[in-house]
Amino acid sequence: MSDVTIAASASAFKQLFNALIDNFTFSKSDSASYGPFSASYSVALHLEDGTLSLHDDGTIEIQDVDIVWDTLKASACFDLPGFCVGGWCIVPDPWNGCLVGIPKICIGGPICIPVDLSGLVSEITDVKASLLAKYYVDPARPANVTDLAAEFAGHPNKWQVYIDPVWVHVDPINVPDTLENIIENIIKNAIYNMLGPLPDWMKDILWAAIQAIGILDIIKGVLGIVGSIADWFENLFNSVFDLVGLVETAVADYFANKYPIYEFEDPYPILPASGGLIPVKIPIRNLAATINSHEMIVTADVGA
Amino acid sequence: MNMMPTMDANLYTQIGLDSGSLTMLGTVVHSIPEPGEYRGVLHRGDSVEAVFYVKVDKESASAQANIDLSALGESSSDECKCHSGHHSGAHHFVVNPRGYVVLHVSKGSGGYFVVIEKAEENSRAKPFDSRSLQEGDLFAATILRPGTYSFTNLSTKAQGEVVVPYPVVGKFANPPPAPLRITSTRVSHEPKRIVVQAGQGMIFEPKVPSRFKIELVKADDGPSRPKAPARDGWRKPPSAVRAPSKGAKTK
Repeated sequence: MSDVTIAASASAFKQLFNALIDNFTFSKSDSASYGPFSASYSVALHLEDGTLSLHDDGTIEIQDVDIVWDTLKASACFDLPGFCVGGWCIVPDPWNGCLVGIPKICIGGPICIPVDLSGLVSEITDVKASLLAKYYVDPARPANVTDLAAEFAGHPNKWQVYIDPVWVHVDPINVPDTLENIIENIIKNAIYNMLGPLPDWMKDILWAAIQAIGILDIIKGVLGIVGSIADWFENLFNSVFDLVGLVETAVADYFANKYPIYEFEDPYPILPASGGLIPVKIPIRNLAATINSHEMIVTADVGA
Repeated sequence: MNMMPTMDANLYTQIGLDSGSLTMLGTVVHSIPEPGEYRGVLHRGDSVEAVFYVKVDKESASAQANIDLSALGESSSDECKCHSGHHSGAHHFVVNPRGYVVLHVSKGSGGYFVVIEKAEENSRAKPFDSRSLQEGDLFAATILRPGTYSFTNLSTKAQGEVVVPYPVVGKFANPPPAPLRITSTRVSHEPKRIVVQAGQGMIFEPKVPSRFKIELVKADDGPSRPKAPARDGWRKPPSAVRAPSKGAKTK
């Protein structure tokens, strides 16, 4: 039999959960080279809404949490071979191949396709978790001081209750198909910038050459894109950058280690300091947190 | 072969070509039918830029040896010049006697010519000098800037004309059509007048000692464009324009 039992109703637990969701933020940026192209990204997000259900098997389930991408930017850079001269055959071989050819010079340059999908909303579809109690020793607590001195210094030890996920499922980012048209304009602007210093006749040759094949087809050829460019960016976000995995890991780490859903000091103050007397505090031991469909129950012993 | 795209300014600032002074859009192709060790010297104007060796070997499977003259010149300038006369430190190429040596410029302002002769002393074989192409050699040229050009065999003074029309979107092939061949005889070129798309190749086949020069006669810079002012200059902001005071005299 525990010495202390604290219960929080389902609605109270929901309030604690809302605070947990509201305080989550995540941001990251990175860049890397992937063979024919290099890419970089910058993301920042927060969470909104979501439903919470408590189960009698001691688990909680969180569903349909909106991931609001406050920043979702990526840029893919590559060398655009606008127009190639040379490369012709001067001595064909008997099998319709080429024995001797003129070296090819491709006239082009580096361009970057910046894509900004900030404001996009995706979803954490499902989080299954149980509660986990942990004992926290503030790393800033001065060494060799009493619990009272640590409290006065603002660094008391704590018992903390975390939501400890068993799994976190995040939906892949869904890049809208309309991005295809937007990207075409972005590429045109990027090429205009690349051609900036050239004489007009050279720009016109390169444009005529690029448009003879089609801007998107050239890009697809350079990047080895089989489907649509929107699908390629979707794959870049979800698989190459692995933003889905990063968010899943960040959410799991945040729930399990960063943001306790409930915490209190140890020793626990039962009478505050007053009238020149020091506060009365009792040490808490063997804290455990469980949940059922009606409430969260925290039990503990009063130790020495 | 390096296929990285380039935006080398020489591609659009060097207008015109000369087989005896190679630049990025000109290539000389030469065959060396007799096996042996050959020594090549890369010249740029009056200076010697590099020395290289070509081994013509019947056992070689190489049908062509691409010799990038700009790379040769660049690497030689990085090396100690004191080795320039030695075999070691020089560049080596191997080609089959039925193959070709392809002299090209991948970057930079170029202006190269090459002399290749048998490496053994007292050889009676006539050296190859890219300033004077012989029958069997080829000069491959590409023109980018639209306009009308003359092409002249400086050795025979035979002339011809090439027209490069201004590109029109929708009527411009990419990649360009197959190259056109021009035969140069003692008295003339065949054909004398050609029309090529910008970027389309021309292959000059000399039947007599030749040096081909292509010069711009009349540029075709396409439709005229309204000239945008380089900059707006300074203007007084509207708020700074003062209304005349009540007491001010007016005419």
